[in-house]
Amino acid sequence: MSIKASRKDPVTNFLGLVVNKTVFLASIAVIIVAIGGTLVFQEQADYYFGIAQSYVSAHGGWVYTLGVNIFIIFCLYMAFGKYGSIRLGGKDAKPEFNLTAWFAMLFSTGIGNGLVLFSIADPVRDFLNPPRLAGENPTLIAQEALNFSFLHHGIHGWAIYSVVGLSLAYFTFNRKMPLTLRSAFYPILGNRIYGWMGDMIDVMAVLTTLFGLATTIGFGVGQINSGLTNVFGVPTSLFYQVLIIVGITLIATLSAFSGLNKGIKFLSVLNVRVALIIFILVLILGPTTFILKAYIQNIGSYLTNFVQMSTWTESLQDTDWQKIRTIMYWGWWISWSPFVGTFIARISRGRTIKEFILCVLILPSLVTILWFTAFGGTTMKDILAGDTALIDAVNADISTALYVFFEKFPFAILLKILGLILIISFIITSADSGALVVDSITSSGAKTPAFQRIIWAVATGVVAAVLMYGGGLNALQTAVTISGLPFAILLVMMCFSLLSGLQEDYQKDERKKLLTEKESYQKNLLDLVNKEREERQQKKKATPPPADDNTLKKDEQE
Amino acid sequence: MNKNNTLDKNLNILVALDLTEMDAVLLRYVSFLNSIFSIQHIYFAHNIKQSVLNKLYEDIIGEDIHIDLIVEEELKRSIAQHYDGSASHSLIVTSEQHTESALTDIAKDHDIDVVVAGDKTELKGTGGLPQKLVRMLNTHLLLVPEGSRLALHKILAPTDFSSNSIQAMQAALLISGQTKGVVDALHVYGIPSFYFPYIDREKAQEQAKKHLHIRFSELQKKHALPVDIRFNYVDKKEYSVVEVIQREADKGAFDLIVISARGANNLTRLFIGSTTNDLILSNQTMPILVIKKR
Repeated sequence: MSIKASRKDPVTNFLGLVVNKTVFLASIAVIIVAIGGTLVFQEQADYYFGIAQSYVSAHGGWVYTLGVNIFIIFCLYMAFGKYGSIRLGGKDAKPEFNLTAWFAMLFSTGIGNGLVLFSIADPVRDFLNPPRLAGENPTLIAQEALNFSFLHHGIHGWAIYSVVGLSLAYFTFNRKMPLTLRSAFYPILGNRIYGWMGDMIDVMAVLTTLFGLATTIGFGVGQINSGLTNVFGVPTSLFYQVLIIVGITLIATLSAFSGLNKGIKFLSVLNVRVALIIFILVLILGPTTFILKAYIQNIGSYLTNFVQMSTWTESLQDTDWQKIRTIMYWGWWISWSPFVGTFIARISRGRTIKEFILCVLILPSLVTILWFTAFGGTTMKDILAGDTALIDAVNADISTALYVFFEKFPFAILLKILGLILIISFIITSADSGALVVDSITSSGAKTPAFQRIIWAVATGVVAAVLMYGGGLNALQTAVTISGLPFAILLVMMCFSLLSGLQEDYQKDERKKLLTEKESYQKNLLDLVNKEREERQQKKKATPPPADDNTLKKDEQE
Repeated sequence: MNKNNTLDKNLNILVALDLTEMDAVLLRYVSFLNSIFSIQHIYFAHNIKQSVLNKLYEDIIGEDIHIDLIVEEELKRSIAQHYDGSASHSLIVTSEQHTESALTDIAKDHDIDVVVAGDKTELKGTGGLPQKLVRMLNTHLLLVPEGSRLALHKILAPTDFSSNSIQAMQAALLISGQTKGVVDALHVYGIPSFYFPYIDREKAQEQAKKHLHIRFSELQKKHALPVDIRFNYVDKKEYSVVEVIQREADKGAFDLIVISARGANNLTRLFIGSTTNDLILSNQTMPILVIKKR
C-alpha cells in the first residue's frame, strides 16, 4: 500500500491578506523588535555592532574576497559553458519585457543611488587615503583610486546579483517553484525548504531587504535634502528629511500599487533616460575628449590590475583600509542580493542564461565604469590640476559632492535639478521594487492583492523615518553588512545548488534527445534487417533443400 | 561575379540521406536541381551511427547478415525510385559516431560545393544536425524541409549590407538568372525609440528609408548588382530580425531564402546566436541556402 503524503499549502488567507503566515508574522515581529531595540539601546547597539563588524571583517574578510571571485568564474562558466543556451522559463518562453526596458529595470534596481552617490565621493576618498600607494606619484594614486572604485562598484557586485537572480529565475520559471529565496536551495535541502529551514531563509531575506532599503533611503534622503538646499535654499534639517521620506513613500506606494508593468517600469525607464541625458550633457559640456580617452585607459587599467586587486587581502600590510572599504562593500552588495536578485529573477523570464549573464554581469559593469569615468575621472583630473573644491565637499558631506561637481558646468542649475530628479527617482524605484520583492517572499510567491504591496512600501518608509528620527541608521547598516557573511556562504551553496539543478535537467534533456533520435534510427535499421530476414526465408522456401546433393555424394563414394 | 562564389561552375553536390521519409523529399529536390545547375557529380551519403551498429550486432550475432550491405541496398532502391536527374551519382556509406564529422570529411575529400540536407520538424529547437553542419562545413549548405516546392522563381535575400550578405545576394542572383526568376533583397531595420521616445516614429521611418535607399544604391554600384533588383525594408518594431524575415518570407510565398553564414559582425556569433542560426532553427516552410565564404 502506498502512503499518501500531502504538503500543507503554505499560503493562507490571513486578515484578508494572502501570505505565508510564518514568514509574514516572524518578519514583522523581528522588524519591530529590531527597531525598538536599536532605538532604546542605540549607544550599546552602535558599540556592539561595531565590535562585531570589525571581528567579521578581520577574520571573515577573506571569505568575502574568495566568494566574490568564485561568483565571477561561476557566472562566466554559466554563460559560456554548455548551459548558456538554456532559456529561463523553458524553450518556448517569450521575454515579458523588451531588452531595453529589461536592462533599464535591472540596472536601476541594482545600482540604484550608488551610481550617483559614490561616483565622485569614492575616488576622492581613496585618493586622499590611498591604501597601497601612499607617497607615490599622485597620478598613479588617482588611477588606483579609480580602479578601486571600479572594483567596488563593478563586475564583482553584479556577479553576486547574477548568482542570486539566475538561481531564483531558474528554479521559479524552469522548475515551477515559488519566487522566494528558499526555492534556490531545493537541490541541496530537498523538501526541507518547505519546513523551518526554508522559513528562516525567507525571513532573513525579508529582513536584509527591508533594512538594506531603509538605510539606502536614509542616505538618499540626505542627498536629496542637500540638493534642495543647494538649489532652492531649503534648509537641511530632520524635519525636511522626514517630510521627504513621506513624499517618497507616497509615490513608491502608488507605483507599487500600480504593479510592475506600469509604475516600476515607467520609473526605471525614466531613471535610465534621465541618467542618459545627464551623462550626455556632462560629456558634451565637460571635457569630452578626456572622458572618452579616460574610458579606454580605465578599462585597460582595471583589466590589467583585475586579478591582483580582486584577490588582494591586505595580508602583508598592517592597515585597516580594506576592512572598512572593500569588505564593507562586499557585505553591502551581498545584503542587497536577496532583494535585487529576486527582482531581476522576476523580470527575466524568457531570457537565455547567456543573455542573462551578459546583461546582468558584463553590461552594467561597463556602464558603471563609463559613469564613474565621467564623474570620478573628471574629478581626479581637476584635483590633479590643483582644484580642491570637491575634496572639501567630500570631506564635509559626501551627499553634496554631485552638486559641487555640477557648479563648474554651464547651465549648472539645470544639471543640478536633473541630478535631483535622478536621485529621487532612483530611491523611489528601489523602494517600490523592494516592496514588490518583500511581498513576494512573505506570500511564498503567490498572487497577492495589490493593496498588500502597500503595507511593505509603507513599512519601508516608516522604518527609514523612525531610524532617521531616533538615530541608529549607522548601527543598522553595520548590522546589515555583518549579516552578509552568512549570506556569502549561502550564496556559494546556491551556486552548487544551481549547478546540480542545471546538470540534472541538461542530462535528462540530452539523454531524451539522443534516445529519441537514436531509437527511431535504430528502429529503421532493425526494420531493414527484418526485411532482409524475411526475404531470405522466402528464398529458402522457393529453392528446394539441397538434400539430393548429399545423397549423390554418397553414391559416388560407394 | 566573385570568384569565391562557386555556384556557377560544375558543381559537386553531397546529399545527406538518413533512411527516413525525408530521403524521398531530398531525392526529388535534387532531381529538380539538375534542371537548374550544371552538376558534375552527386554523392549520396549515409552514416550508420557506430553506437547503433554496435547494439544491433548483438541482435544479429550468428546470422549471416551485413548491415552495411542492407543499408546500401535500401539506399540504392530509394535512389532508383526517387531520383531521376541526369547527373552521374554514387553512393557513400560510412560508419562513424558523429554524422556531422562524417559528412564534413566526405565534403573535404570529394571537393564538394554544396551539401544538401533535410530540415526535420521533430528536431526543431534541439540544436540538431543542420546547426552543427553550418558550423563545421566549409561548403554551402542547402536545407530542405518537408513540403518544399520544386521551384526557384522567387528568392529572398536578407541583407545587412555586409560583404558577406552581398555574396549571398550574388548567389541568389545567379540562381534566379538560371530560372528567370526574381530576387527580393530585404533589410530589417529598427528605430531605437526606447531612448528617444519623443522622436516622431513616422518621420524617423521616412528618414531611415531615405538613408537605406542611398546605402543600397551605393552597394548596387559598388558590387555591380543589376538595377532591377527589388529592395524592401521593414521596420522590425518590437519583433526580432529573424521573426520579421520569416514573416516576410511566408507572406511573399518565396521558394528559397539565401543567407550568408555570417553577417556584418563576425564576432557576435560567439556571444549571441546569429540571425542565420536562429533562422535555421525557426524556419520550417521553405528551403534555405546558407552561403559560406571560402
